[in-house]
Amino acid sequence: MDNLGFTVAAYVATFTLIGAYTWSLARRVRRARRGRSWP
Amino acid sequence: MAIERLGKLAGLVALPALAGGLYLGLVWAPPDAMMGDVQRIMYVHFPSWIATGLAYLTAFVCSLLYLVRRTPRLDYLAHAGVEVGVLFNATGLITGSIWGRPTWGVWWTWDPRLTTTAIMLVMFAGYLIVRAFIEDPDARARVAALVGIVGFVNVPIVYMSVRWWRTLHQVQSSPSTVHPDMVVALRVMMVTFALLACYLMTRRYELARLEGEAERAEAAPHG
Repeated sequence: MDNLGFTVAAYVATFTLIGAYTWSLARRVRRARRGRSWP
Repeated sequence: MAIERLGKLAGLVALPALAGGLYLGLVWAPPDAMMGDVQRIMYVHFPSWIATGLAYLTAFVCSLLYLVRRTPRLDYLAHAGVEVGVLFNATGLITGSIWGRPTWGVWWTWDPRLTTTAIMLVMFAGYLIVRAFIEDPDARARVAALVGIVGFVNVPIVYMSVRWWRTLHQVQSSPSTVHPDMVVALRVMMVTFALLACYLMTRRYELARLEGEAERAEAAPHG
């Protein structure tokens, strides 16, 4: 892996984590709004 | 809720800022004379720590205020701060590790800066675990506030670690020693990550508020 590969890996890791958290949070908020968190 | 509307605004501003910041960091700013393109990791590594600090500071202030005022919304915001802080704490450690391999020759070393940031992640992950184990909302908020305050003690230690114990990790850079184009790219990404942290904290706050309201409604005696 050359230097550019490390750079790409760092950006991909960062935005994958942030994206996954954002998506998961949006889903949890939608569920809570529908009142399904406590069946 | 005003805080939730502000958070949505932060999210809306963060998107074009992120596009601009990525262009500045990956295309516009020059490669480092010694490290080449791998130095561009700085534009996500350092902003991750800005977002981490902002989120943990929010948690610390709200935890302190909660112990004084006992307002559930302060507990919700503290919880949001810790969860978002853990996210950016993780991205900071991961990008640092990826940067460390080509520059230091290792993915990880027990350097004081790395060690204190790892301890910080574990302590705040512990905060989230503690919350999950306490059922009573008031007791949970009280204990969590104490853990949040104790956990924050490590934050200034992390900041000062590179000055107190000078080993492998560099001390804080000064903008006067960095190419001006790099400074612009870094500042745009710092603001972007701070906005992202604000957006995510307000979404997490909204979730905690909805969950808290449902929990209290369920616990209230039915007429």
